[in-house]
Amino acid sequence: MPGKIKVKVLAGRNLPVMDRASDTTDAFVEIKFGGVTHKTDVCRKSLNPHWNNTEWYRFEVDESELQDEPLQLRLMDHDTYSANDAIGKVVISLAPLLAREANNPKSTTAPHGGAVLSGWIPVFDTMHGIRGELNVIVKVELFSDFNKYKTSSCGVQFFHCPMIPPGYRANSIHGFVEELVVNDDPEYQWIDKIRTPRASNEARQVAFIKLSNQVQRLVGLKAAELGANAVVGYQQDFDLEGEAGVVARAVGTAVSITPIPTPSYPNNIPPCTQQSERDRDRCDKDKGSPRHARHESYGGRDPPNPPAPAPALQNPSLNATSTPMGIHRRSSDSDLSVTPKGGSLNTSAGNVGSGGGAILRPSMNSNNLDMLEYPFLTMTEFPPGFIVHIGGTVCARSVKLAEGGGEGAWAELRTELRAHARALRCNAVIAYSDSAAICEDVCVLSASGTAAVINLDCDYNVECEQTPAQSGPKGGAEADACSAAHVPYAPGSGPYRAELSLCAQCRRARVPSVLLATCAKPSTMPTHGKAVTLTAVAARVRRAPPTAEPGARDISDQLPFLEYELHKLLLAKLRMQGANALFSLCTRVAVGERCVVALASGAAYRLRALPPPAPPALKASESDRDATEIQRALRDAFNANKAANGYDVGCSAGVSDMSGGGALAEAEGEEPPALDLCADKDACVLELDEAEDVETAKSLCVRRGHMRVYSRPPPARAPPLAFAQVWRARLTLSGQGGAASQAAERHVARALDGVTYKLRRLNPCALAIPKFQLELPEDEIQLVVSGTAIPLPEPGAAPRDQRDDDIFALDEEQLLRNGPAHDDDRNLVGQIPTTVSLTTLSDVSGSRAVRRICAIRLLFVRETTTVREMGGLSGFLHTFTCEVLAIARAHTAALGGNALTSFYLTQLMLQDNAHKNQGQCLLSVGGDVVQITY
Amino acid sequence: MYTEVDVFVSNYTLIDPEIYQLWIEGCSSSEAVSTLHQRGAAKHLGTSVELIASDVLDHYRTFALLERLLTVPSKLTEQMIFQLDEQTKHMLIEKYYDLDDAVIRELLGRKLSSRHRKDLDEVAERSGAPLRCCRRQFDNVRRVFKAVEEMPGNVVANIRSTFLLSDPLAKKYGAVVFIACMRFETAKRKLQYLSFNDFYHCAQAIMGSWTYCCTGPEYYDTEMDREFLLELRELRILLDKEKEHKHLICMKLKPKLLEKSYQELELNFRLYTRALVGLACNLHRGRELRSLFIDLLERCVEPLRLGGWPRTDLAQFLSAYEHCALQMDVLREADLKNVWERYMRVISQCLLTMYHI
Repeated sequence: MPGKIKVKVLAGRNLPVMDRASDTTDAFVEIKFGGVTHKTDVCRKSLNPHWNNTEWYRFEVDESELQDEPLQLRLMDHDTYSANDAIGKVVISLAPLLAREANNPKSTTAPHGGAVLSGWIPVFDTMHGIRGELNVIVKVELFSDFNKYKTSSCGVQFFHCPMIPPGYRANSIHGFVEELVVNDDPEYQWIDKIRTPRASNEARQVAFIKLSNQVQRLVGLKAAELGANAVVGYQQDFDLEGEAGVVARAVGTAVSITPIPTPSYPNNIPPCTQQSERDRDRCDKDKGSPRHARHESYGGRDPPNPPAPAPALQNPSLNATSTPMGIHRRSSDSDLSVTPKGGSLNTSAGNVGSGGGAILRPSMNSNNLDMLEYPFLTMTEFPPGFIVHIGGTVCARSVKLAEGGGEGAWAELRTELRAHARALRCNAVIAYSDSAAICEDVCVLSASGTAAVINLDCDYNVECEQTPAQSGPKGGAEADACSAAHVPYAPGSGPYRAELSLCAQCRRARVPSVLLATCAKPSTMPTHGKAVTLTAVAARVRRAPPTAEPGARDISDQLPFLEYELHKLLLAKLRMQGANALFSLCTRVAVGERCVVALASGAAYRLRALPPPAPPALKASESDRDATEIQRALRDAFNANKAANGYDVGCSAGVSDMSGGGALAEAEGEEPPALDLCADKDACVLELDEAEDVETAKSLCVRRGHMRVYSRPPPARAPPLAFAQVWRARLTLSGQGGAASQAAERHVARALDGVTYKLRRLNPCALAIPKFQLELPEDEIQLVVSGTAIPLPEPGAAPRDQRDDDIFALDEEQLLRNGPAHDDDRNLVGQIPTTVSLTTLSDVSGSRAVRRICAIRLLFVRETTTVREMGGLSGFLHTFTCEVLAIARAHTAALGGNALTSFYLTQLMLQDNAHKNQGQCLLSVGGDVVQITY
Repeated sequence: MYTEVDVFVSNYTLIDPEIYQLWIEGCSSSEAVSTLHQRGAAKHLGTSVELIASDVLDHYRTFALLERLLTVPSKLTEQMIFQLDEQTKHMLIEKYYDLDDAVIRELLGRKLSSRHRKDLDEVAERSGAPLRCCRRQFDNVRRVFKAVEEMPGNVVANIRSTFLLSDPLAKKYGAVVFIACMRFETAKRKLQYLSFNDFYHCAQAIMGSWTYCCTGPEYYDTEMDREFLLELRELRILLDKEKEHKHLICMKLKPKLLEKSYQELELNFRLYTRALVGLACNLHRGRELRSLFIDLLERCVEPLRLGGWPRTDLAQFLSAYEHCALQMDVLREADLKNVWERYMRVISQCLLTMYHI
């Protein structure tokens, strides 16, 4: 019995009136954990009840149960004669408390050596939303468990933060951890037909939370086996496969970290492994040695990957390996008698230590990087010097039929990805992520990342904040800085023929003409001007019936074309912006009943190392009046964009440099040399053969207000503003191919315009690269844009936003009005903010993180039968989103934080039934709880 | 483009004061959109209607959710759903409870019961404000009235602490509540020419001088000082000394007034003094008190108007009228100086306020 939970319910406030006759409520609380339930007294006739003389309610439970089960507080209204009415629930996952407990047992903030959650938490009802608040205290006391066969992973901290969390020192990076758990979706169980909507929603919510906790525990277990004490870059997703159940997937990077400053922290981190065996020689070779410098070949993104040959198109019955016995199909359940197979998916690899926590698998180091099954890292930001070269984006997709699980398919995808990386002469895949799109029973699984040559022996502990400070690029730093852009493969040996040129900075190595990467831009890489957000959308109409094997085959056939189209458009747009690199690239594929849509987004940069993009050219007959007009418009837009982004200066310099470059100068000529079919080239010369190409070209001419991407140096003038824009509209698919793409593109553009317009009040501000979630429910398109706006200092000092002037005129006014408020904010320096900030970035700029407390993840189900009364679906969703953010803030505050960093909002599933006036929504949010001061 | 959902939610709730003002004014979302679009067009901002509409709808949804909280402003500070800074919260409350002089003038004297809520069309028609705006103000007044009616202590302070309003606004509500409590007759046709502001000043004067002066848990300053009203009857003795009073006043005012006013005074002093003192004697009767304004109008303001008094002269006269009476022995002997001062302070203020030329 290694854990004890103590719960105290102090008071409630603003409760709803449950007894119409007396306009009051007789409230009491049921506290449930696992199978045990406690009850408080009934506090009669009060909407602000106090349970003053309550004792602690105790639960003594097993460690893995502690991690999996959520604590449920159900607020009830006591009725003497009829059944008691439920008011709402507070569901608390204990995982955040466990990680803290294990990591800082002598932390000053936890009075009794245990971790505490204490504060007002909104009471949420799945049918009515927030109904008052409860003041609760939850403590967890853990007893140490050194059993090597343990099934829990309490000691492992989780961070969504996609880097070594600021304020921590990395001792070693152990490698990739993943886990996948399948369960039944309560929504599709027979019992759902007979229970009330409330019971059904609550069951679903709790089931999902359990599943989420379980997959996190298993990931933690794997990390512990690797000898790690934390998982960073943790990503978790649910795939709702309908009848086939729900799949919880998680990936992360196992690392060993220690908090940096305070000497009061005891160093209780498990000894890290094998890090001493450093291969210095190899390391030196990797670092920009002449051998690498002479490499010459293609280094952009590898051309559209042929999707993995649909592994699941085999007879589905063969794959039906599900065991009907238990609910969970994984063996590493909380059953102690079974030895957990930490790396059950890794059995094919040289998995030395599948025995459990005692035997450590070798951690990632430069020696064994090649031997690892998945040399993947989910982090996207790295200390300087870590990334030696970036090979380019690699991705693999496969289509399968939903049958619950799909571990095999994921393993295949990852193997393929590794092969791609190898082909690019890279030793690792960084910024790895995977996603799945499901429609009926057809799933499209995607795994993507950036192939890179990494140097695991670099000094992890160079403060990221210090790097931008070294302003004047000098000597060694400069060489180091551009090396990330160099291609890692030799000229002839690259997997594809590609246009390469000499690095504009060091003039020693070859660089690709365009660089696409899923990771964030390495902070040392020098750029011109500023970065802007970029999106591209491609869509294709499905031909076959949407379900079963024909549907899957159809999608499988269409995917390469979709990817090609997307890639072409993305490169064209990148060029139109005058940029030559795209970082934080994220591609989403959504499958609908009638079409498949892919959306790529990222931050466009103009790297100094890479050649400047040539102006766009059209390939059409001279006489074509239309073509010349478009050509002119394209050039104008190109030049205007370049000027707006501040790329023009660097560009001209780059060209003149290049012309002196000798052998490679030809590549910069007006008319690029004809090459083989290579995606890069296609993008810069548009052929106006088909009507849709003309449309595309025209749409490229239109200048849109791209939001500026936030980069570290200018400190924010106000707390960051996390936002979510949900857009759902009918997607009219008329015609074929291009028309569908343009329809989808219009929707995305409109949603982004909405965000830009609504954020005008914060101007001048910059945007953290927004995340997109794309769904195609029925004949509609649903887009969720979530991101963070960071208000910047007054425009006098900082470079202005490149928005259209019309919006700007309004902003000036706004600024004047807000003037005094900013001064107030400045006075706050040194103070602890009282509000809770949410940000999708890993830190709150302008502030100092005092403590990085834990990761939280909340999931909610909400239903209503009064959609019209709430103002339609928009009203319903608006209310629900506000409530979810409020609960997230409350949890953050209760855990002792005042900011939620790496905030994310996923799984927004909105269903409605207009005839019944009913709507249902699922939403999950999370992030890292941090305590900050300004 | 048919949109089903277009929602923008942010961690700190962004409130655009301009859109909020339109909402407060009772504009429907489409009216607000067209207003904003016109304003934008005037400033040559090329923002599309679609974007403005989406922004306005986001705000209107937020306002609809906020409205529930605004009815109990203390909840707005406690609630966790919207993260707002104090400034914004204050702005939200202040504007929500803002009173339109035209509307509140129409609401004065109406019964504040929910039954009368549906009769607000007339108010809307007369004040020129949209019905929605009238409803909001009616509900606000009713809510404030119900909340503080039975609450002991200073009514303005009560309103300020219960509804978290600024002092000027709380005073306005105080006056409205006071007029409603006293059931002063304000809606008569003859009184239509008076604005809310006039009544506000009168009510302020009455509240300041005629209600129970010591504030404490036992005292309600929405209640008239009964003893004072009864003592006012004693002022009748002034009528007996009318000659002396007139003489003193004439002496004092002769060098100050215009010739025309002075003659008017000499001629009609009897009429005026009878009206003023007569009013005082009858105020202890509930009905007379309620018709205070109409009486003041009929018995004082109208004759004064006929006499063509300039405003400055009227002020001189009233001040002299008060002070000369104090010099007389009758008041001193009957120990009525204090009562007279209290009475005249209010009456002077009211007359001057109501005396529109």
